[in-house]
Amino acid sequence: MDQGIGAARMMKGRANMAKSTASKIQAEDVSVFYGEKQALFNVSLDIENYAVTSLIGPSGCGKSTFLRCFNRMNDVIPHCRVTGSIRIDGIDLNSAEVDPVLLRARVGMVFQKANPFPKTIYENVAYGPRIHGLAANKDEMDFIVEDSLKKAGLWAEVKDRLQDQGTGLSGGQQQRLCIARAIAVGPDVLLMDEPCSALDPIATAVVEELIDQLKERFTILIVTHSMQQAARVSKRTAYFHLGELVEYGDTKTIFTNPANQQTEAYISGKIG
Amino acid sequence: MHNDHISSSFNEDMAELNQYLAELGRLAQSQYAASIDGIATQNVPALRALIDKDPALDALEAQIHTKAFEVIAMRAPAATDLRRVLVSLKLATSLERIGDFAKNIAARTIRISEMGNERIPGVNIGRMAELVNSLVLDALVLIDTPDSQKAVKIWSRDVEVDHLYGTFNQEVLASMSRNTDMVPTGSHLLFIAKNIERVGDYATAIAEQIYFLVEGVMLDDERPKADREITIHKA
Repeated sequence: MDQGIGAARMMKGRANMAKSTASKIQAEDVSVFYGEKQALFNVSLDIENYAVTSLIGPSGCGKSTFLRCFNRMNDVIPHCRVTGSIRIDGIDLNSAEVDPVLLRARVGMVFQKANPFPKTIYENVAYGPRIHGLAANKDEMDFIVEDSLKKAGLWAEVKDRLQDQGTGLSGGQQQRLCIARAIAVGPDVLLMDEPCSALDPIATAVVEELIDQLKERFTILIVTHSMQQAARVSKRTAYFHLGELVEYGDTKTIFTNPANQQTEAYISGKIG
Repeated sequence: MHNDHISSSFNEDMAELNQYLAELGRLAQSQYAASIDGIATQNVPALRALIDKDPALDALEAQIHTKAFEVIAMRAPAATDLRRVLVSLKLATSLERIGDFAKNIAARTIRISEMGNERIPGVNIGRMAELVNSLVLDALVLIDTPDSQKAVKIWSRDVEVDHLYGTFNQEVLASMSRNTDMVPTGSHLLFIAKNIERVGDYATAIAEQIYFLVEGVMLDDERPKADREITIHKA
């Protein structure tokens, strides 16, 4: 199978190969178990390249569990077991030759609560590139920091105070700093787990506008509890319920004429 | 299918919207029924009372528009809820227009009554008027209980109205050709017939909207029409 841009970067000792495909990620028959308890049941779906895909559903439906499969974050949870396959540009993430650390550089993640390191704004962004050896000298690192902060829409607000503490920024700025930090190591997939749930409406609008711009460069998966956010930012939407994928399709169709009655009840705020 | 929202105030908003629509529908149909009764009875006080009632329909239409805007702004409805709100706006306009046509029929009937019975062409408009009345009543049932299959049936029956409209026009035109004294009243009758035919069109439009509400897609087949080639009959 063809391997896309950066596919080799998550594999040990492989050179880069360039290719872009309409379907960036293929999840096939994915199940997740926490010990004996099965949290996700045989989920299969394709994720489109350079587009935003929303994962929605009530708490406990498995959407965050599914999201964590894409950068093997479930590996760090004791007794968690993942079956089935997830391929990014044709590479099975669970194969022995995939290095989880390199995978997480390529598949960046932004969490519900902004979690900047207790370091300067500059160091928050430079930390990842430094440990991955992405900059040969200070000029290169300066470029990465500036470029990442620009892509995260934060440069204009912080360029004169890069040595201030990242934790001193506002909530919305901290979240964009975390996005800059994820971008700095050159991912091509971004996972966002309720990235705006702790933000006010203005900061949310800024981050959503940023997501809209980032989709030109990245494949984005976002878990959100906000129906309207899913409707606003994503091209495709997947609805999960009790660990099963109930419906997956164009966001416009999901929000105007869903095929499944469970989906309809959920997005309409009806008793399910 | 779950019909109740978790938010009870959302349920109340939708119930209020439905209540306004039901009230406007009942009023529009009673106005239309009164107008076609008036053609036969020429009861001028009753026709004037009908005309005086028209602002009530306008007010209800405005209430529906206001409520629909509120629901969109405050509730961000999705899927069937969204379609229901959007369809409510269109239904309100259709029902208000039926009221307008009833008012116009009444005004023209008053003019005819002032001209004297001997100058009225001997034609029967009752059959078309009653058929349209039955379409309107069926459309109101659809608003209360949406059903896409019944909507298709109403939608396809408009062709019967078109046939009757064409025949009626030819009869009136023939009568006017034979006796020019019939021209003033005949002209009003032609407009009355057109108004009735348009009420039929709006009943059909209601059926189309209900179909969209239920199915989520518009009826895509072209409706059978029979009023496109109405010819002026030369006596």
